Amino acid sequence: MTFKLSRNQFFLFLFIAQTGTVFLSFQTPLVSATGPDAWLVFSGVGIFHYILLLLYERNYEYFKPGPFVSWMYKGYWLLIIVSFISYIDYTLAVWAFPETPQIIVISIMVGISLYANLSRAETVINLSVILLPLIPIFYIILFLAWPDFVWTNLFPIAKIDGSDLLKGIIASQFTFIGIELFLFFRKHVDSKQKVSGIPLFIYQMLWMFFFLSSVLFSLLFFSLEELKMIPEPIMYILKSQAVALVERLDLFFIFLWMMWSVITISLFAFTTIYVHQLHAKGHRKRNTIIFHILLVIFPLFLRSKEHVDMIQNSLVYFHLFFVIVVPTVVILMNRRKKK
Amino acid sequence: MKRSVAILLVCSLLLGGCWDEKQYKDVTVVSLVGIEGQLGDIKAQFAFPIFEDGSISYSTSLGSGTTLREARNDANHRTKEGLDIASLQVVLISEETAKSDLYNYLDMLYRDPRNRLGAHMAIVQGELAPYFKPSADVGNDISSHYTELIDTAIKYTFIPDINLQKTCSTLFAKDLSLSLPYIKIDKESGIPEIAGTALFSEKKFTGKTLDKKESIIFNLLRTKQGRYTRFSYMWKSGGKVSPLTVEVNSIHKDWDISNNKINTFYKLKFSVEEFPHDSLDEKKTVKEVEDFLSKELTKDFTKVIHKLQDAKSDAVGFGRPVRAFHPALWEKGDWTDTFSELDINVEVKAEITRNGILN
Repeated sequence: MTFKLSRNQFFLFLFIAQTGTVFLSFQTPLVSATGPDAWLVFSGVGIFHYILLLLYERNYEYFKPGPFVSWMYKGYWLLIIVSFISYIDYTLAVWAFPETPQIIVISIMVGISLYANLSRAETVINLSVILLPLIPIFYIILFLAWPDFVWTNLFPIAKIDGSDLLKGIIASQFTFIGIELFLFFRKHVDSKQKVSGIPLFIYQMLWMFFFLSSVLFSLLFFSLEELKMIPEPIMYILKSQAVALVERLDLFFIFLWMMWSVITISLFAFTTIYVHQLHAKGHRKRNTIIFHILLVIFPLFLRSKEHVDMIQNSLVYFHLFFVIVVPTVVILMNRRKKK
Repeated sequence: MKRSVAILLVCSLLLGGCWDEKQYKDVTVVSLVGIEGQLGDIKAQFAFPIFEDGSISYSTSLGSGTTLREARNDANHRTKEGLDIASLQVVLISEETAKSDLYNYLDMLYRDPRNRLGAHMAIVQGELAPYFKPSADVGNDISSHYTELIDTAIKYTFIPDINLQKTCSTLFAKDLSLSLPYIKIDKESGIPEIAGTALFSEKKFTGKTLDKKESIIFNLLRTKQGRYTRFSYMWKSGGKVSPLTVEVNSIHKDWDISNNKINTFYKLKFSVEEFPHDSLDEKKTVKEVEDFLSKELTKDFTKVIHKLQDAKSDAVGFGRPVRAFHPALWEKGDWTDTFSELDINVEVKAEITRNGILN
């Protein structure tokens, strides 16, 4: 599979893959663990994210996974996609489609990914562009809640102990999911366009602004005890806003989020198939279809919230392994080989 | 071909809603809900429009059950279509019911994603039945009557602007007590009217209320003004007496919190709406009026604070900065107890900035 990415395409790809599904729900576990310190903890975690990006940028040329490591990553992404689909399906069943059969919702979402992935690589890569005008609208709607924000909710700070801090850092890791795609697609970026330095810093700032603002909105809008009860705080903020002519903003937003998430799934599916094709010979179409059939079947086994939570909670630990441990080993081995 | 498939797939997203379609002809849209009784034996009234012979009238259905959901199911047995509360406008709760943990009655409304969170909330004096069928003529649409009654009261700063979402949010806050509009039926006219503000302490109605004037002051203490905020006094100075009505243009607060005391300073800017004595072109008179207002308002503000302390209801929200920035005071014990015993001083400074079109 040969394709070239512009710098903007690359960063947009990364941004949508990282934000798609998780931005709806990661705030509650983070705030539950760290309380008013959540925004400080996340700011610290953001620095770690930037350090990771800098390390990836410095060493991406040495990241050449062999067939075994590639299979591990494919399994990991399959787990991510299945977990995302299960979560999306559950959330849609709660908010928008309680009566629609699960298989219909899942098939439609996976069907879009299948179509995009059977097309040229550029089709999937550019899918994210659809979301560009919608993201500012989403923010404008969220800012309607401004008069209800309680600024004292951000204090007192520095009240958590080490165990809560660790829980908070782990909860924040959901926002990192997808960062490893940097290592796989960085080499496809047009060599004439600079990625390191200012462009990478701007990407980090956008990532930070996006997630940190959602943590701040959740903290400012809800009291701590209330937030523990609300698994999707951003949705609830939108639900509580009413503007002239539109009573239920959350219903508009749930469809925007669904679109966002379907694109995220398509990007992860694209990455999985791309990595598979690095070591497999031909049969791309057949492999793509088989992979998507698996994506329809597996989420059907995760019907309850308990299952969805279980797989999501375990995802963080897999993520730490595939974002830190595996790249470190692969890069160090390849560096040594080169020497 | 591929494009057609793509369009079909995108369009099929819309079809996903077919299973979840709800048509108005299949449901009865409830606009007003009343809750009374106690946990385990809840009685709920539902008011909804009915269409007969081309005109709209309002009907009610009563249900009882262990939970609000069960009470609604029970009420469903007496209506032609299922009761749908997704477009709820007003929730009325009897004062006796509100004296136990209020959230127990609201969870169903708050938890269901289909429900509207912008519905108005109010506590009613006595039993619910007369509020659904008042003896006086309040028009056909009883829910609109309450919606407009509450909206107008909010506009005139008589009651706090609070909906279902804010109610539940406040119930879970440890640094703020809930306050809800209080409605009663006027004995002479039989019309339901705003009587003031119901004060809560730790999720329960305290049984104590603020009257209309106290409610206005309470809202100013929170610096939450409606469109109009007016006060009337009989001005007295050096043997001169004159009626005086002023409107608050702006309010600025400054709280000084220490470990055992809160000093509050409020600066209010007024325009004079009514003052037959006139002479507001004379600095001396303006000063006299300002001093008079400062003194009277300081007295009234202090009275409201004492009433809140007596009810153990920090509905103003002194607890918010205390929790955030004064840990020693916050950690003294349960905040409502600490608040009720705290030394809170109030000072109000009035400033006349407008005279109207007369001097």
